Amino acid sequence: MANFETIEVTTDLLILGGGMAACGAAVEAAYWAKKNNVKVTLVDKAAMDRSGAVAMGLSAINQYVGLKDGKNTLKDYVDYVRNDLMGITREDLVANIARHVDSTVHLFEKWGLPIWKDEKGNYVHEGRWQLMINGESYKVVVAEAAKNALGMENIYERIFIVGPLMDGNRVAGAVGFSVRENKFYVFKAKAVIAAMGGAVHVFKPRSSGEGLGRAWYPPWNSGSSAYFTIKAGAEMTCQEVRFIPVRFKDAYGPVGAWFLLFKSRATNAFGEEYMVTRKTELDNWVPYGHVKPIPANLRNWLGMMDVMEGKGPIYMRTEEAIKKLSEAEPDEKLRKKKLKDLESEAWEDFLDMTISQAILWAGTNVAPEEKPSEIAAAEPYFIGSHSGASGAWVSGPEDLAPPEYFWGYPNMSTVQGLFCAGDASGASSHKFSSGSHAEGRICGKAAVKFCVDNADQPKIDAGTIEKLKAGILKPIDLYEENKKGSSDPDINPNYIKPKAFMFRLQKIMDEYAGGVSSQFKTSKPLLEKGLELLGFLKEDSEKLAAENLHELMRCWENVHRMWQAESHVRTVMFREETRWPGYYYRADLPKMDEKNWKCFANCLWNPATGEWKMIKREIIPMYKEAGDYELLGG
Amino acid sequence: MNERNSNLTPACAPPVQSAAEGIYACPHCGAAMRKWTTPAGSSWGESVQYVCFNDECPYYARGWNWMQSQYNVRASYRHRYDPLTGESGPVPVWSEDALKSHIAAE
Ligand SMILES: Cc1cc2nc3c(=O)[nH]c(=O)nc-3n(C[C@H](O)[C@H](O)[C@H](O)COP(=O)(O)OP(=O)(O)OC[C@H]3O[C@@H](n4cnc5c(N)ncnc54)[C@H](O)[C@@H]3O)c2cc1C
Ligand SMILES: [Zn+2]
Repeated sequence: MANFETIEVTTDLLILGGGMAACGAAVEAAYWAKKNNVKVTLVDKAAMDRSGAVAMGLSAINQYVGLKDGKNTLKDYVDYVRNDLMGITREDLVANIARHVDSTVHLFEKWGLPIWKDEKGNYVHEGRWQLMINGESYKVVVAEAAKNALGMENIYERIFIVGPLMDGNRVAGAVGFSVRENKFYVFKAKAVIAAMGGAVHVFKPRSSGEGLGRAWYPPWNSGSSAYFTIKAGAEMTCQEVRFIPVRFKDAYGPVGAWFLLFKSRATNAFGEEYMVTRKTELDNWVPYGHVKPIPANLRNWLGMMDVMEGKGPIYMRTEEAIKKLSEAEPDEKLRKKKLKDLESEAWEDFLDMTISQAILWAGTNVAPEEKPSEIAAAEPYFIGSHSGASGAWVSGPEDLAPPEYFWGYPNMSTVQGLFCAGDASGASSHKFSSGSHAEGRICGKAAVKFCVDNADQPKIDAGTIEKLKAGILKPIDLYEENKKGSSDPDINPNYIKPKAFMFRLQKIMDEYAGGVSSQFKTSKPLLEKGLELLGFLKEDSEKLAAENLHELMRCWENVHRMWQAESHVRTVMFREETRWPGYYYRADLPKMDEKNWKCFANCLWNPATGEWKMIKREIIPMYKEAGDYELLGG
Repeated sequence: MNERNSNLTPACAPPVQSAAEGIYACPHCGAAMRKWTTPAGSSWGESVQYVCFNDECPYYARGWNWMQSQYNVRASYRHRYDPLTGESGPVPVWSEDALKSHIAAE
């Protein structure tokens, strides 16, 4: 076996990840830990200052309810989330986050995040739930608070967590390795919070070849949360709900400003506006087709219908929008100046957050004032905290959850002592950055209580750890043993390198599970074939080989993605209807079946037998639904 | 260009708040607020709201300096009112023209 030193860390509460949810968990857990003499440890695969989906900075906080000022009610937020997710939402979880999110935002402000306010101290709202921020250092500010709360001596950076340590159905810690030194890490804990984000590159991205690695979602979140919870034996929910945002094609530049500020139209190649010409299609998805805002997947769907009829490309009519805006100025001289201002605003929109889109524009001779620019639905992502919903099935809070949804500790999965937040917990969409932090705080408090109530350290035998270590380091051994078998280190009859493995996974998912090349369409026979191929891939994952530490991480990232993929395929197959047509479409079951499938589709992998079980769970609303749609104008 | 519609309340007149007529006066300048359709896909939910588009509104005019001095950004805000919920507050703008393309016909 490769010569890796084993480092053992024993703690009470172990937080996995260093993103928004983990930082929330850290500050809250640190507070309760001091009172209860509990030790808290955090592990991130990267450096907390710039890790996770908020790494580059954001320009808005997407969840702020304004409860105290009477701006909105909890029910308002629950209605918004439920409608966008076509009825499939754990209202108790959404409400629990919503009632805590404002205080999280106030903490951000206290820690130094500039949130825009007018001269009278009112937050500047970009949307009903959105606050404008100077967000380039958002993550740094949030991470700093977490670091101060925990103390750097309790934080391990650049350690990649591979999988769980178990004591029967109780989590006992986690194992992983340093991505900088030959060190294998064993973290023993009484409770664990999984907050390792969602997953990208499970599906083939639109950008391949020279654009490889480019995606809307950060590529370093590779399904570790899902892998960890599935392998621990936790019940998962909504693993079929992927998110596909519409972006400027190939560089994934944001479209929001064009729609919202410039009032640009999106048209097909024949100048038709799909949101207008396809409007009646929304009637097929009532009641959700008639709510405002129109659910994100249905907006995608109307555009995709045009593409499937051969009416693409779809264009953002930037030239039209700029012309219209500048022509509103009657004075010719002023008009010229205005045109210049608009052009620079157009470029700045990309330079703010997706510089590569500006480079692509320059490289393809797109002058936004002269030429429209292509937009497209991106590839599928697993981001349960944004507009997807995938993640673990967790307990609700005692005072809001019905008995079916409550098992002792808020946000604990069905595995004893394993808590989940942010992208890691399912069926509670639209948390975004602030809600993920708030959910992390809910987890932090609950997990400390778990540690106090379950003060015994779970048992793990040394043999298990040795076996895990050998398994995790196997790709390095396999490479060393076989590297002389061919003249090219990347091609070898005895092993597969992580990059080639990833391409194979992406090809399977793209072609059989409804990726970009099949216009997100799939069917039972396709899914069955895909599952068969995933089975072969799983066999071959035993042959993953790594030349160095970096590739070792790449190997395990891809194994994580593979498990995310399998749970996805199984759940899409289980849900015998089409509910989110702009995210995926079952060609064999093209209609929504509200009667039979207005339910959660859950899955469970049994660590003892290695078998999957699919489970239907009832949706128990917190609020009576009558009237919701009236209020929203539906 | 002055965005005020002369058929509506002039800036110097006392504010008129008559929901029946759908005329709302800006509490900062008294000008009639314009009917504004929130952009589709925004979380405002395609509602009709009212925004003070008076470029001489002192709240908006002072906003540029305020935002520059407080947040080092070239932006201001305009007063917004949602008649459905009674909620109001500042909506951000990056230029004199921002949001004006969504002014609804009255
Ligand atoms: C492009 C984009 C734009 C967005 N825009 C906004 C916006 O404008 N406003 C808003 O409020 N929200 C926005 N969001 C949503 C927000 O970023 C997420 O909801 C939030 O970051 C989720 O928090 P999280 O903690 O679950 O995951 P993340 O914040 O992504 O954190 C995941 C953490 O896990 C770590 N990790 C991953 N794998 C491992 C492993 N194996 N071992 C150890 N550590 C691991 C990562 O290093 C990282 O620290 C946006 C998201 C994206 C992708
Ligand atoms: Zn005014």
